[in-house]
Amino acid sequence: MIGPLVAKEVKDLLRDPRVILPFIIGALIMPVIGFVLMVPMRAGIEQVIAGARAVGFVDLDGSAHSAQLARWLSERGVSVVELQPGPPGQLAEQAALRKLSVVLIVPRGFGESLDRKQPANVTVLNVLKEISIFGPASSAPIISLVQEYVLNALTSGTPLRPEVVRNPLRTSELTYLTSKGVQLPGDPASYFALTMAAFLVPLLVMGLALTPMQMAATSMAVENEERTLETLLTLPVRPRDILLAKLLGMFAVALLGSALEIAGLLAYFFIVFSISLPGEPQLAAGAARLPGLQLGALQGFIDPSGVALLGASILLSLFFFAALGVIVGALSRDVRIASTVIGPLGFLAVIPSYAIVFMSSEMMGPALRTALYIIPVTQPVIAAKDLVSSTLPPETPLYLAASLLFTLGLLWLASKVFAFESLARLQRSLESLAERLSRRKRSTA
Amino acid sequence: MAVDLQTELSFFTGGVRGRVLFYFTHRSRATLYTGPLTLGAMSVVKVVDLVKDFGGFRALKGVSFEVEEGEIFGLIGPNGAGKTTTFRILVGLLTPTSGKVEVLGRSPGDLELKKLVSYLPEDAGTYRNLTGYEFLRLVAELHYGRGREAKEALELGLRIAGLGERIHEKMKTYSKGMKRRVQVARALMVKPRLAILDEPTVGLDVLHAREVRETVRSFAREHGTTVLLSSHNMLEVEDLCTRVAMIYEGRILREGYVKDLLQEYGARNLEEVFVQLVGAAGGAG
Repeated sequence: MIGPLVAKEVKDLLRDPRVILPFIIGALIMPVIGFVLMVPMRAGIEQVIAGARAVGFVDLDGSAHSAQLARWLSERGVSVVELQPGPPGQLAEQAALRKLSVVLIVPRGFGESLDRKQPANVTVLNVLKEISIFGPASSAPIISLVQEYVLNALTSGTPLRPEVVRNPLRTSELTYLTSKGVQLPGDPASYFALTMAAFLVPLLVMGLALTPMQMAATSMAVENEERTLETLLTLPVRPRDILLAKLLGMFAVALLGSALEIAGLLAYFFIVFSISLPGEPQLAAGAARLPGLQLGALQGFIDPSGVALLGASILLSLFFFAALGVIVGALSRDVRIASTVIGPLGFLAVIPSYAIVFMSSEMMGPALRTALYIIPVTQPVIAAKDLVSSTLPPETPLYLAASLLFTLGLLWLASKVFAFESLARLQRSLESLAERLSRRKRSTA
Repeated sequence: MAVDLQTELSFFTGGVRGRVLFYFTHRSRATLYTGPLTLGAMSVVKVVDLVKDFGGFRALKGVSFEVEEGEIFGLIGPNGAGKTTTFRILVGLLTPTSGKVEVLGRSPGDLELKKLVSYLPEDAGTYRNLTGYEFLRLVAELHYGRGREAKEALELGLRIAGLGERIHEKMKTYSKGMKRRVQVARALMVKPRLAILDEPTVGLDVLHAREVRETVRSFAREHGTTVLLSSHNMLEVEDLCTRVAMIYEGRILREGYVKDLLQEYGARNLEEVFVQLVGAAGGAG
């Protein structure tokens, strides 16, 4: 009997711009953000590369070593521009006129220190128009070349080779993860980046779930606002079937919408990692290799069946959020009230997720751990964390079933009050709550 | 398998309506039950001393009336008199605070009863993004599944709505009149035994209102549907209904045949009757 109702929901949702537009905008906005990020990043990197190819040189030492240093830099493709000595302000003006962003000041005693095999001093003046994330990077290649020169000068005439001084100890570190029973190359810090993936899961769940929740709430609130629910409740169909049909229709559309959002996210990463710079292809290739390397490490690190369970958990979470949206919508007399309530509810759902990310497994007792695995909001977060940092518990399929039952139970409870009269009563209560929330928001603003 | 058969013979004798009811029940063996034999029509709706409170506000203060099978009964009164609350109780949307309500011999809200009773709310909305056709098909399928009966109901609905090709356009493009016609079609297409129509012509222009009235009248005649409708337009009710109940501030002031009321109060129309009744009840001024 709910078939026609589900079909009606899907049609009504797909044709409603208020419902489908957030998904389309979500999908389109990600590549746009990627593009917007890519343009200044590209310009910044180009600026860094250009800055590294030229340096202002102030030789206060006048020694053979300072002259050799200038030649050393030139031989390595750096354009060395001699500047007149002066205070930093004056030097900066000279550099700016010649479009130089780095000035190397070689002080008196530079050559003498090297002759005595002592650390030598240089001063690097960065000439910037403004502070930016790429500003500090522009002097790094020059400093690296100067260090190389100094190292060669200090080790010449000694039995030491520069690479020995640079890396005096060769360590070979391994990590053994007892929970997974796997041996990994490198120290634990190398895998910190992987644990960071767990931080992304709450964000991902929130990003994917908030839209369906909002959509479900809007769609259900429209039934109240347009007075169609009153008619629907007098047709020969059970109230719980109305709720279930609404949820199933919503879930089907939400899956489609989530697929669109994920496509947008992939387009974002593709654009951001596809920065190619003329003359410096290794930078772009390096950036593109980075996620590849991480994925490579994940292949041996993460159990594929665990990934499938995590995927199922995210879907169940999506289902739960859609159910929550349907319930909030049913309790809202109009779309405005539904929107006011959904916002804080979304954040409330995400806050426990971050507590899980920061909490170590020892801190959670078995009861709390089981509860977190059953509640659909926290389940994908704790599952993602365990998947990365240890292993998923063997009861995970049971937890998934329990999570589904949790959502259905919530829906069953909602169907118990899904009657015109109780809804009207609850709508009045929610309306006054929404009013209070709106007033608080206005007073904060 | 249990089979319940109910056969009725109705007859009219000089204004007195009689009915012989034969009731057959077959379970494991056939038995014949004769009776009850009643003089006076069967009550499709029976409301006795109905009270409804909303918090501290008493919306209905002991409403009683009966609607007989096959008649078009009007519940008339001004806005806020309690018409919509009464109707919502009859279709199970609201529960009474006290009093007795029976619709077709059952308590309101029962799923089986919902198949026999159609309700058209005063401000019934339409799904903006569905076409009129899709909406009528949805209602037909909810009543009958996807069989022949659903198709027949849909065809009837399309005829009642009378929107031609525009029935295939999204309802957000419809005028108020078109939306109301779709709603009236939705309520009648399933051939309910009782149609409860709350202000069926509200917001319609004179011509469309007349069209809807004609549809209701002819449909009730053709299909034997009992109609309970409300209106604050008393002239409309006078034109359509055989019997009326006048409701004011949650109380039934008077119930009776239109002709009898006009004669009794020496009034030209029901509006005058109502004004006299309200005056007598001390509420006119």
